[in-house]
Amino acid sequence: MAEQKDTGTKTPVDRPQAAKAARGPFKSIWSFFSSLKLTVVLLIILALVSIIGTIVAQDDPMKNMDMLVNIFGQGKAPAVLKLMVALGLTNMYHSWWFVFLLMMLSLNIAICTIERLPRVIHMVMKKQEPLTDATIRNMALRKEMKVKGDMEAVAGNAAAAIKAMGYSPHEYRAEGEIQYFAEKGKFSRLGVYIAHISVLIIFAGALIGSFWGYKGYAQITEGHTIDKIGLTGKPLLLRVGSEMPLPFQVRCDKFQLKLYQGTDMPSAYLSTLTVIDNGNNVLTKTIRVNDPLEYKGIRFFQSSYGISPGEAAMTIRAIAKGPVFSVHDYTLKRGEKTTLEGGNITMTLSDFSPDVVIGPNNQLMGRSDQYRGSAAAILDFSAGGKPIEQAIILSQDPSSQPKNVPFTFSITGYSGPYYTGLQVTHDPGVDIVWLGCTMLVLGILIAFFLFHKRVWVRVVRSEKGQVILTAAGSINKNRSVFEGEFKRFLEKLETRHEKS
Amino acid sequence: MNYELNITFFKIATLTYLFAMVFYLGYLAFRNQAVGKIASGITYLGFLCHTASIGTRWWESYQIGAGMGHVPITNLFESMSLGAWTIVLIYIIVEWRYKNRTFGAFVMPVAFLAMTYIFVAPDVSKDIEPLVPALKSYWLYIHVLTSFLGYAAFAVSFGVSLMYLIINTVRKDSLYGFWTACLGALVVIVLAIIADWATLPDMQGKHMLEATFRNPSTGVQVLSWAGYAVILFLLYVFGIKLKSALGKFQTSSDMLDEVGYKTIAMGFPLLTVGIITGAVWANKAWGTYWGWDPKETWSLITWLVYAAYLHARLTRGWSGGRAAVLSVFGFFSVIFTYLGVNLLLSGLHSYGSTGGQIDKTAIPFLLIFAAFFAVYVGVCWVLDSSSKKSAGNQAVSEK
Ligand code: HEM
Repeated sequence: MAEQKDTGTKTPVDRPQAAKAARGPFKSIWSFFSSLKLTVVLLIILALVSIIGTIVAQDDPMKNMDMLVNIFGQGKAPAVLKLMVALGLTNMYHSWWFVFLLMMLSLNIAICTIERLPRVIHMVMKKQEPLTDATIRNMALRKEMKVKGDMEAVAGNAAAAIKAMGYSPHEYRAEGEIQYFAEKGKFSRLGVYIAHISVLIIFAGALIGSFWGYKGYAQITEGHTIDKIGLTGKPLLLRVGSEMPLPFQVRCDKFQLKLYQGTDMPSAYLSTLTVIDNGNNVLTKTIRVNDPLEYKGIRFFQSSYGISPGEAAMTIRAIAKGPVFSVHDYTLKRGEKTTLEGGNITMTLSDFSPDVVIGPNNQLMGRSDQYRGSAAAILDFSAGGKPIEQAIILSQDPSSQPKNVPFTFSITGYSGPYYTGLQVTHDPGVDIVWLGCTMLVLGILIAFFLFHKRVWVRVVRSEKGQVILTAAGSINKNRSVFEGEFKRFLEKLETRHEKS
Repeated sequence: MNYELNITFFKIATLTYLFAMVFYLGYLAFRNQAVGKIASGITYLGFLCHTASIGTRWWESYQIGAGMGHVPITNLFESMSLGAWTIVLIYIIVEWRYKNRTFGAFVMPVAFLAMTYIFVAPDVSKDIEPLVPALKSYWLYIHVLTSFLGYAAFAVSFGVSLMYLIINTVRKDSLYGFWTACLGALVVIVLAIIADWATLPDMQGKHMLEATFRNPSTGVQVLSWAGYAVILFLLYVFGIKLKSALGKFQTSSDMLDEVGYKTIAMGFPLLTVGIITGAVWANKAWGTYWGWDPKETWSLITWLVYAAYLHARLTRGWSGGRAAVLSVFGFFSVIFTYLGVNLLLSGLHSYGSTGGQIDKTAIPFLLIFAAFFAVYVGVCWVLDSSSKKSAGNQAVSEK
């Protein structure tokens, strides 16, 4: 049941020769790391431990606490969380033991490659050799036939048959013997190694990124310019604070929200950004999700938007209670005041928030900067310089009104310049990662779908003076594919010999 | 105007797959070549309709106007439909390449079940929906398509590997315990989902398996676990019958081993391209090619398992049976990547998911389920090794 199938390699690859040679601690460590069993075990362990990080929330203590309280109760949860943090489970993919496993895999790949690649390169560089009596007997695909005609003609026909299969044959002559042989795809033997080395290249790219790359965010109000960003992911090898100066400036010219016709579903967020370097406008681009701006290796991604809180204005509608019915809208920024139409009362919009929730002790808490029918405004009224009263107006609760002012108020709008929220990243390793990925795909495709195929035709004159033709073929794997091709080759050979 | 041509084609395809399934089962039962040919013909027809359904949906999305046009792979309905389509596609390729129709009876029910589930599940919208800006990327389309083709190839490998294990183990073998446990788990989960449908007409806001294993009543829970144990026991006892029934087909274990490997050799590069194009998309959308989000991580786990499979085959003592076990686990991981992450864990990819949070009530269930599975395999293993020992003693004493 456990025998080697022709879909794998023919040579037993799990037992490198060096392992059997000299002993000693270095040799045994070396053979430990060149073993394929270690590969299988490491890959399985990596798969298993990776599961943990998909269940335990990463870098989110609140979420973990929630989950633990649910499972272990309020009392034990903090202790369990502490244990989890100590084991690195809450930032698992950067924990020492996960990195250690990745290093083991890298060593495994590196030593495996050092162990085998030279032999494979030697094999690929070497010219194909003619078969001897002994070697031809070991070929799995082989056919011997006695043929009529003289040796030259038979050999010539064999060469033609090889050519007809799309191979270019070499010739070998010895006393009483002519051989033609050819091979295809010998470089495909390197495919596996391209795949293996590419994994190391991807790791290298990722390391470079975590050493010198960073992640951050920026909010730019339309018409404004920034020259630094806030950091969320710090480079391991650069000393920086929570902010990072940019080597240039970025201005947001315009932000646009596009909706699908006739709906309120967003179809695109567009920010027009201009890069200012040394006082010159060097680049202007309208970015959208999936289409960032890149300048000097720093990329700006569309990530959020909103009305700029500092410059926003709220529209308050005042309806006079009588005797003359009137409706007026006042659009005010924070701290602005106006005199209410039809009276001598001054109204100041002291503070507001587009989105509040009412907390447990009835206090108001700001939730977000999105205006969606839960706004609050604090209004101060005065007459002739003397304060009358302060009132809190809520979108959710129209009954909240001032008592001593003859108007009813409501919030009818929220406006102002937009800001665009940008995610900013710098990753010097990303191109190396893409190089590795491209090589990985190429390497795997070569390993799976290209084969090293060889054919030989040997023509000898036997002692009795008969001409004997032996055809042989080999493939490094996937024999079932090659068997068909070899059969067709034999048919070609045979038909040619009937003619001759 | 309603754009529902795609739904009509979808319904026809679903029905056709049902018929194909019946004919493939008939082919298994009577081993009549004509029946087999009809089954294949019906499958091709269903596949054509299914292709038409996806094609018309694509076309119709542009007919709606208002910039709604997009490749139909962006909500749960569309992605399930594509998933079933790729499974049938890979199956057709394998059937044609190996001139063997035995697997049809295993593949068509999967396609049929996936399509009926997605059609009747109440909280799945079948409308063509506008794309959110983050999904507007050609990398995303390549990502979804290659990942799905990879998953489908792994699905076929899973079925074939399970057959390999069935044919190549006898009851005195620890791998026998493994495949009966797998089959038992599949049967139990399918029964439990059917029970969900039957008893919870409105699944909205309910948990999966709420009718059985996660029922509020402890009695029902205990009964469900007992039922699971009974099914395992029956499979253990009658598994030999299944083995001999399958053994009657001219599917040699060499052939199963080869198809199991070849399909993974198709799926592995596809999954690799799928993961990489996903990373390219993430990098374009928010500047990070890899964020260890649960969906990403699970696709990596799947990839690691199949990488282990490929290397296990090259290692003495790991090829054959153990490699087949890895293929089976690999497919569990595929299912979890596609469904489990959306249903149980949070992530960026959770279109059609139940929400951002982890479903806490699922964790004890999953743990018990895994423990049940492990204990069962362990018991089989102990039984087998003791029976092997006594068999060995007998052999010695006979000499
Ligand atoms: C994540 C890491 C790895 C990946 C993606 C990978 C990928 C591959 C692939 C695609 C194949 C071809 C398999 C086939 O033809 O069936 C292969 C073969 C192989 N791998 Fe790896 N591999 C990895 C790690 C390793 C390591 C650590 C070793 C070290 C022992 C190793 C040793 C081998 C060997 C010896 C072969 C067979 C080569 C041959 O056919 O001559 N691989 N690998």
